[in-house]
Amino acid sequence: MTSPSAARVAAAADGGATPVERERRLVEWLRAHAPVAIGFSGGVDSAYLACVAVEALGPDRTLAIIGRSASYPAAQWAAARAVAERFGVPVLELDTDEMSDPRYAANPSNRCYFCKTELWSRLVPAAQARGIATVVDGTNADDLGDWRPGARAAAEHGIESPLAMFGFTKAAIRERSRARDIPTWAQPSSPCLSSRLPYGTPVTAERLAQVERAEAGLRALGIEGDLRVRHHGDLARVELAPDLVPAWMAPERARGLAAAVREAGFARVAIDLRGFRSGALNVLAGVVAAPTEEAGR
Amino acid sequence: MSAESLRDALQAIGIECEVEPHGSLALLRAPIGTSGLEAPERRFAAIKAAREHGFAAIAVEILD
Repeated sequence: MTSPSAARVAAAADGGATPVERERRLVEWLRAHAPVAIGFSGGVDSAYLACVAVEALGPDRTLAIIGRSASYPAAQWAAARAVAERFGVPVLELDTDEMSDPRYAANPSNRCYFCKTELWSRLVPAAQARGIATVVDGTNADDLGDWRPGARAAAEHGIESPLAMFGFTKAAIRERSRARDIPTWAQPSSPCLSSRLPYGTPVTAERLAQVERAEAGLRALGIEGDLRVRHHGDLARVELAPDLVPAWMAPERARGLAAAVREAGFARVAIDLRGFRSGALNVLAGVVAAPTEEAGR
Repeated sequence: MSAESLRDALQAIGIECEVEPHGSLALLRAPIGTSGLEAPERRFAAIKAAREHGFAAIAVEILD
């Protein structure tokens, strides 16, 4: 979701560096740019960044800022708060209201741009009001090749992306998170709920709540790993981790799965035969041919 | 992109179902447990057929 120029990334990334070496450079950078505010969702990337920052800079020079809205899952919020509490990361919560922007609510393929514009236009002044000039996000090196219209909004607001700058891939972030005992190391990627709605389907609080309830119901059945409930009107298309698809297509389990999703308000339920794919709605919309990561948050 | 031609192609490989198009999503409709799509080779064959018929995604509806 951010802005590092190709030249800066190329200069800093150094493809041969180990994750430990990258982390050393990240710490140096954070110290040189402190105090730092972090756009904090509690996902794998921003959780790692916040934990490294608070260790390197201390709680007086670190602030994790959560932007809360209808598209931010409650479970994600709880995970973010738990990580922050465990690692002593100071947190500020702000409400964001991207839903009231008709350009966002219309759900165009650059929806994330309007969401991030709203997010950063609230976070940056909040940081500045506390004497913090450097605002960072958790964009990683893998994200740079994706369709991420939110990156333009980050660039327009001067957001820095040190993980991408120092060449951290998602795998490297997971590795270092595990080494630091940050519980998000094994957490699936968790983009905003709006990513479950096909482009062009208006984003409403009701639809987002429907998706959130359905996914929570499936988690309650014991489904772990990557999971998305894609919203196609009265039809829910469930994407499971590919290795789970055969087991959940067996009649008894499929009935349980369907019941849980219907409970959330969908009339019809289907299982995607390929299973979870990042950016699957981009494929349906023809935005990208072969996505590698979830576009969005 | 044709639901009918995909249905025929699936039938030719032993998968009996109706195909309902939802944009570029092919939605297969068959009573639960009858399509044999739990088997990886049949599932992959169905995915391949959907792609060959112009669909970007394929899913099977859970019908009682």
